[in-house]
Amino acid sequence: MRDVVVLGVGQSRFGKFPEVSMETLGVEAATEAIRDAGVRADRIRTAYTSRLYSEMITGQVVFRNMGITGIEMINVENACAGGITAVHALWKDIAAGYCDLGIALGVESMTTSPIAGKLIPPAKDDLDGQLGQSMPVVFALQARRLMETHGATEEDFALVSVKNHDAGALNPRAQYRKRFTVEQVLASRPVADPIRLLECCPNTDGAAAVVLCSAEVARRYTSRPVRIAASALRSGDYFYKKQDLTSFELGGRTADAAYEASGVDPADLNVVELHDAFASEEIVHYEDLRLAPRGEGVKLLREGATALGGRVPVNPSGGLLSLGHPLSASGVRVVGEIALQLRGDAGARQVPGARVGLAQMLGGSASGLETGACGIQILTL
Amino acid sequence: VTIVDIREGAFRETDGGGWVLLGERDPDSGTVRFPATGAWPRIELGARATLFSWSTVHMPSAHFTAPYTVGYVEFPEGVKVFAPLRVAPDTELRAGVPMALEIDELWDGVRGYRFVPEEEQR
Repeated sequence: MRDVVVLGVGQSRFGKFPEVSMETLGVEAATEAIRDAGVRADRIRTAYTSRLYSEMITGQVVFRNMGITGIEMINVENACAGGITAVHALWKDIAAGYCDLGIALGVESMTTSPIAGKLIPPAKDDLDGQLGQSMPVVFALQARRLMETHGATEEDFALVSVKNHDAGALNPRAQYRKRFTVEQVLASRPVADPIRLLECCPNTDGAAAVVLCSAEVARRYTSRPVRIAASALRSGDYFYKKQDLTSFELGGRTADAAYEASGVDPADLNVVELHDAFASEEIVHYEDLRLAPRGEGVKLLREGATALGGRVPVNPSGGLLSLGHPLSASGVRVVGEIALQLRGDAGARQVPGARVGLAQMLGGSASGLETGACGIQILTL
Repeated sequence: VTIVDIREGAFRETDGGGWVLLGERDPDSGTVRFPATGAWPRIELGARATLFSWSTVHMPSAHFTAPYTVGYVEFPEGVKVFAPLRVAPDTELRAGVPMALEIDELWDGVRGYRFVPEEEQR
């Protein structure tokens, strides 16, 4: 297996842009990633494109605007983990020697999609979905169990939102660059008890892209390559096997696979980006990613260890809570954010001296399954 | 008006005129799950469930207007079932309270299951 490097990072504007096409957003992100990589567009041999709510052949439609045609193009979907699935698939192609240089793109125009202004609907014949389960409900039921078993409080959930909005205020690419107090978060309207509006990520239009290449090719372009030390993608097991709602077995299993493949210990991590679609779930991911022992995720949060300036900042970008969540783009964006952090190019939100980082994205909900898919990449300098 | 069940074989009426949910049990491990997939032999879930987690939801869903309450109840067999909960507005829910099964028309033309605190059922 060959070493693979993140050579270029790109992101479109993030926000609500009903007047901007999916294509335009995709082009913005892909163009920036290719320019950042310093390669010519015609060097790209493979393109993976992730999207949920677009027409067929999304990649071909985006890349035709950039003179990129005729190459191998694959369009993928894996719920919120679609973007990181695209990165993972490209990593495999390059690691295996099928390709030397390629691009992974995630793009979503939520405001022009069939679900504009709505929640992500369950599949039409999904049993639990029919009975009133939705994404906020899944995480509300989990948050309630955190309160039962972990001593978590509604203030703790608000604190996650405050922390991530503090970071987002430093990120010029965030949809919302506004700080809030715990009191303001708690005063926002209830969505699904105990989750409140300012603890939910907004629906967002946007795209993110990364250019990956073999370590050999990277030598021609950079003297400080960011290496993908491990990439793991797993799918969810049966719900009935879960003991409680306070852990994603899938998240822990995928993390363990990534730690084992990379030789990185969770204690080695300097920076983490993860799925914070709802503030309360961030505490669960701390434990699943082994950042804190089981039961001590709340303590890690309260100590400030996961805030900028802490031992292991989580979501220094501002997370989905401030950036917004263009579903298929988020999994690519988190990989790009970790690459920027390791390069020292993260601006005001930079984690000083970061050398080892982890990007995680998970999602998908269906009756009988714990969750759909989880992807994790560990990046090192 | 024809009333259809939300899912074929998810529940049935008992000889005593009550209702039970139908799950299935793995003959090897004894693990129970709901709803049944057909892979394992069917079993009736125990009459007594307890509340495991709950949420009052403040936005409408496909079939319910806000606010509505949903949650997981846990059966003695260890299986957790997601369902709508029928609770009075002033009820303070707690984990572990006994919950009774109700079979009723949940929305137009669809019959399904929900749970109600035993205290409120009386």
